[in-house]
Amino acid sequence: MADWAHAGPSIIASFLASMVEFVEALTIVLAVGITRGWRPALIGTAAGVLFLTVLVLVFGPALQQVPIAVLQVVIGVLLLLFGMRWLRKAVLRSAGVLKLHDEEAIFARQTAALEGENAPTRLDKIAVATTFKAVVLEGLEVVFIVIATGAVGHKLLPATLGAVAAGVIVILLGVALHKPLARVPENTLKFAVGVLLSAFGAFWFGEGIGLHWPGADLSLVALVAGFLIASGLGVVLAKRAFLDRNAEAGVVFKSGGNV
Amino acid sequence: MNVLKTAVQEVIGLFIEDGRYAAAIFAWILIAGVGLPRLPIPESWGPEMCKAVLLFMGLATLLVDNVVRSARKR
Repeated sequence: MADWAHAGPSIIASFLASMVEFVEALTIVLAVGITRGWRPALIGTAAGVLFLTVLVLVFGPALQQVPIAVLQVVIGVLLLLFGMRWLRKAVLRSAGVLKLHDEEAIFARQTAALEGENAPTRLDKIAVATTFKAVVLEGLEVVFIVIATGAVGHKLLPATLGAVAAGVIVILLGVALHKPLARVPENTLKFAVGVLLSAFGAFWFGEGIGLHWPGADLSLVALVAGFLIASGLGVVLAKRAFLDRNAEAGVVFKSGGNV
Repeated sequence: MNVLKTAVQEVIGLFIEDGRYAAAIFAWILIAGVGLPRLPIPESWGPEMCKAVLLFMGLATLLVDNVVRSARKR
């Protein structure tokens, strides 16, 4: 039975994280569809979705057999690794250390690469493989996010609904616009999702090792706030370190020039 | 075989991008998992709150430390 009263954070985390992944998958599918034709693009997409469905049907029920404490620790650890990886990247992008993810540039690169290949007259295996790979890789992340945010605490259904809603929105926008969703503020989404997933990860891991969180589920809010503050501090300090480093490099360059 | 290798690499890549960062998180999780439940904190200090704060502070420190180090390297 889904615990709908406390499902809000699971739905939000699953919705936002899945939206990022669906946008990335859509970019590749659109690039393949436009350059190589929609038939192989849709065959690859359908095969990817089928593969993921089989994966969920095979491994999903097995999760019910795992003891709750083990599930909390394993999912907590994986969520921390996954969420803090996203958070690191989002912080470095916000600080200007890394370039922002550019869906239009990825679309252009993918399109150029596919246009260079000769399209066969029968089934275009390259196009099918490209969309299959994109859908499976991004879809695996969606599956993981749904399981991670929903498997513990009977919130699998709300988390799935969050992901499905994100998928429907992205697909409808993709069909309507027929171009990559470049205006989706991907780094802001990744930032928010990184904070949410890291908070979930710390919470589940703590529960798994027997910590009794003060305020129970409400401590998730404090964890979200804590990761948000830490990330904000990270952006400020990383920006300063990056500028200092560049300034030092400039000085070295100038003095080198003078010599 | 090559496809399988690529698939495994991609799945590992979902969780590990900067090996040092991932290893540090994993090490802290291990230390916290073993040490926190056994940490003798006086009842008057609120042991659960202290343990929760310690777990979080370790993770937050790793994040901030890593982004600053990464920014200095680029």
